[in-house]
Amino acid sequence: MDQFILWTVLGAPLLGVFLILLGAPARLLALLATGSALLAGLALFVVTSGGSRGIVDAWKTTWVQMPLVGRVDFGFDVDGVSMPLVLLSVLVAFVAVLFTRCEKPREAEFFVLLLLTSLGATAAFASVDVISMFVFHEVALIPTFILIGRYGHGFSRASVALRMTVYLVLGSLIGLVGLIGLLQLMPPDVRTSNFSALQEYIQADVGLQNVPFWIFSTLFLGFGVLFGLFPFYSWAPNGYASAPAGVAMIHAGVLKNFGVFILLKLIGGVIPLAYLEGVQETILPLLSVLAGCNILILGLAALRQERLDLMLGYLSLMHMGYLVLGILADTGTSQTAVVMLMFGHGLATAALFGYADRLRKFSANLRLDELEGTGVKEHSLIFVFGLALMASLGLPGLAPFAGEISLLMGSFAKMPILTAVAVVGILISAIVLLRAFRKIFQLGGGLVRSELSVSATYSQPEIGFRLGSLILSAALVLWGILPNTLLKPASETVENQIRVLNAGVGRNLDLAKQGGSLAKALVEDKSK
Amino acid sequence: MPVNIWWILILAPLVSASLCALVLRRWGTACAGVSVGSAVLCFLVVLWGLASGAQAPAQWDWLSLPGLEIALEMRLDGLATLMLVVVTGIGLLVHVFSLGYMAEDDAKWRYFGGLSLFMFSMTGIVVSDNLGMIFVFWELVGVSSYLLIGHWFRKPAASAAANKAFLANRIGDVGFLLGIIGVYVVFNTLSISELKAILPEFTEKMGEQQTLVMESQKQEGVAEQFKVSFPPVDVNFLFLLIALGLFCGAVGKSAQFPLHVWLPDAMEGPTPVSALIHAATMVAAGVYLLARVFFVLALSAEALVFIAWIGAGTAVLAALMATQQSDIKRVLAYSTLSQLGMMVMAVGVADPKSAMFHLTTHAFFKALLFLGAGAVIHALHHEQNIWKMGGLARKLPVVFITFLIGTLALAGCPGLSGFFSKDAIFAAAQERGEMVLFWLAAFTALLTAFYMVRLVIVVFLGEARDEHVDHPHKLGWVMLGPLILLALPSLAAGYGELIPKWLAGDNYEYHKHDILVYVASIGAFVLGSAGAIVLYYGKIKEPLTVSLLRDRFYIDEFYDRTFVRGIDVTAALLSGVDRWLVRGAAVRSVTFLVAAVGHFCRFLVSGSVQVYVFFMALGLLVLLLWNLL
Repeated sequence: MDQFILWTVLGAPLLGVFLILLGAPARLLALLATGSALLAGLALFVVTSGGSRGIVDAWKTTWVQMPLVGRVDFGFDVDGVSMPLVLLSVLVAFVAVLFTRCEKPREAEFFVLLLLTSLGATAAFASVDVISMFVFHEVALIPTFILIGRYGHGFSRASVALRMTVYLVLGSLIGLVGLIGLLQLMPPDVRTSNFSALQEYIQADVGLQNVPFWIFSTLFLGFGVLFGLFPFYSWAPNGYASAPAGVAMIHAGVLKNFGVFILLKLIGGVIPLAYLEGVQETILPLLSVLAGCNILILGLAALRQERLDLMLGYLSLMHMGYLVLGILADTGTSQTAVVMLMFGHGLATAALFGYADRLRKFSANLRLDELEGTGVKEHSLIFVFGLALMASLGLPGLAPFAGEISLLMGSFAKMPILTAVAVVGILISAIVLLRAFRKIFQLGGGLVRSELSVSATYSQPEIGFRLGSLILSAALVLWGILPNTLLKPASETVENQIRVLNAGVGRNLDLAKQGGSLAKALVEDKSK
Repeated sequence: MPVNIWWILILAPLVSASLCALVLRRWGTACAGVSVGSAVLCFLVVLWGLASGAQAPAQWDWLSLPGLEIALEMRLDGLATLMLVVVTGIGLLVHVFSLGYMAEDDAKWRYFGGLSLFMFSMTGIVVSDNLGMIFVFWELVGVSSYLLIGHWFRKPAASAAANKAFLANRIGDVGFLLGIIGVYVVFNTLSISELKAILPEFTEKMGEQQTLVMESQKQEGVAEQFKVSFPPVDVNFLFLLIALGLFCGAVGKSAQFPLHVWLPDAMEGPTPVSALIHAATMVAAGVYLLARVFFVLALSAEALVFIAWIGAGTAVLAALMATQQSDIKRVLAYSTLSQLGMMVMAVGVADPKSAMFHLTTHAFFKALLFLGAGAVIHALHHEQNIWKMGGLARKLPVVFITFLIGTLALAGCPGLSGFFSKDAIFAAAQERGEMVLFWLAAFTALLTAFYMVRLVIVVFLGEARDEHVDHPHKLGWVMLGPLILLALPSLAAGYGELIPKWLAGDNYEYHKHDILVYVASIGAFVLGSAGAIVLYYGKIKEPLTVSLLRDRFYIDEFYDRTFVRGIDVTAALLSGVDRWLVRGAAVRSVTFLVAAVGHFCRFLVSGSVQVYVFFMALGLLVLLLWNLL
């Protein structure tokens, strides 16, 4: 049963791709494919009780055996950390298809690429192997570039897409170098990138705790670019502003979290951050400064943006700072909170990008000054936009808040200063969003202008838009009221990983005390 | 399974708010009905629950992680039940009053949905036993306040006021949240009951040793030498920080100096909202919170002194500002600020019971005054300038009499409810030996009597100064009824020290009132009222203009010039980092580098024979040199 549901989640979009290529009606097929993936995703969430029990007899096979990376496995499973992201991915994919239309001749190509993007994202989160995760992420990434370049907004979309490609491909490559470097720490005969095998390896006395400084930095740098760590973010705001709505929703809401996800997996389960030589003193402070820059500088930069789409881009980058804080604080609570926050903010960000696209009806370039008050015309939009906005600024009762508060609670003891910065950041995001909301929906000045200029092109939102916004709002409220359904499984997984990690490292330390082991030098160094 | 009756208290308004927002949008009257119905239900539940002594229900886990528990658990002690009566009782009357006041509004679903959302979150604050849960509801009342202030959002002033209120509250909440996190880090729990239980042991253990070594949570299994621990911290300093953090929440919500600026602007909302949210209940939530966590605040004597002075300062400043306002609602708004300052001061002089006593009586008579003002505004077709009123006593006798009762109660006329609760605060200050605070409070009382009597004289007495006064809008019983029902407790709530006894339970011991307290309070009332009568009786325009007071000490202007502009300037500077440094210099230099490498490579494969020959020669030279060396 589990297997069937899991393969529906992944297979439906793939089947959709093939059928569209064979000439089936593209948008309808895309809807059916993402819709059944969504239903299957929800079913998977229920039958695995939020991912806490995983897939029964999860199928996997050896994909490839290579000297540098060892055995690479192909297979899928979910746990408390990946289940929320899989769910987020299928949810946003369905709504993204609902929200988008494309003109006839290129419709097939558009939806094939969009399906590939969402399929890659889902597969990356559900994969059991670190290298496969990486490969699926690329599968999702490459269609994104094409979609922005060919179907995006604005004259500069080609160069924006190019810049995004350069950044993200370079970032992935640097991350890959880090991953390969990490795998070199295992002896060639047992070397594998299967995640649970990696963990077993740590548990079995050998350990990865002497991860060299450069591997850790490379991993953080490479995957940091993928989620827009300061100062490697400049691909994002323009990229999202130029992207077609569906692509911006999937990338900003779902795919951007991949960098955080893989770091969380590695630091939570494989690399014992607390034991890394030199990291505590050198790179950790540096990274926390960068995360602080994400929150403060990009938050305030969002305040300066004159276009709604750019503003949302900066704001989504700002939220990434919170995720970095949660990873660096390295406590069970903070890591669990990162999962919740990725889910919550993913939903809210995707929703805001989707609704912003709707506002293009009133001002094609989404300048806040031109939007002045025009949103008032569309009653249903005010409500759902307001809800997503309140979610994004951390209103209790909506999904992101549960992540935010547990992140702050869990991080303060380890990183008080950055946590305090993060608390101040909540204020900044409130200023940014409320100012924008007032400009779009409340100021009366634009009303007259909108009556004059918009009425000719204006049409009521379609049923697809209404359904999509209903789904997003319902999800934000549902997981805002019942965060435990996500948090508990995530917490189980995270705590379990930490236990495995600590047990492995602890045994090594004992070994080292008895004389002669990998960790000996480390222990001596620490005891000084 | 029998459903615990107290859940209805939380769920009824929530259901009503959801119905209004999702289902009944097009049927405004139905929304009003559902919302009023839920308010009636809440009030009956409170009465029934108190009468039957129903137990608090089992907790509902909202967020539970190992070591971090935020659950909805009800704590129904004297403090909470008193507040419940105030909130649901006044809430019900305001709902009913709104039926008349908002009868012609075209967005009733938003208005009544907002009221229900407010009732839901406010009762949530009152009953919650968990600081995390209090914060949840704390933010939700903030949103309902935002929605209701901005109800007429097409008026730019209204949407600006809504934003200002939300952001000022957020500033306070930053501190509040840090304070809550501080409690969690130090005591490892957010539950107030648990805190109360462990605190004696904790302080005893601290005893002589004045520092605290904290270890971060969640380190089981981590080898000893790698556990992260803070350097030892001075405990008193820590307690001071926590107390100040929690106090920040109250500063925002109860609009204390320096975050008081949002409350007068919040008068842009419909007047019943001002009565319920911005006078009687929500703004009092800050004081309620202080009373709730008083045992934590009391750990730091310095914090209490600070709290007392902020309260007293707000009381005097706001009372001074109130004397020169010409908008009927603004006079009352500044008065609210000032009275909240008195309550905060009472907490600061270590007497939260008097603060709650005054909160309760104030809730009744201030709600009465606001609804009275609302009736006047409604009758005069939305005229709010008091100098365009006058002579209303004859036109609106019921409003006049009830308004007069509210005024006398607020001004501290002997025998009315405000007199007793104000005296309790005076006595507390005197008992604590804080004589400066005592005289500041007495001065505030004098000013209170002055501006309230001024208000009554200008609005209700003398000759009519505007044609609207001659043809007032008729007021129905849905509007007059609540006034009368609020006038009763305004008269009587102070007697028998019922309220302090309710709070304290059996071991009640009240302040001994010194003769000085009576002299000060009665003196303040007499002098203040006499001053107002002398100055304002029979005047048709403001006889005395003090622009410093009228313009609120220019604090709003100061904030606009410094903080608001400051944020913009900082944002401009920092986004300069984004624009010029990161996207400009860094990215450009990388692009330049890549381009340079590209040019160089192109140069290498340019197809020009000379270049190839040149490199061949260069290579030969290198090889030659290599061999020679």
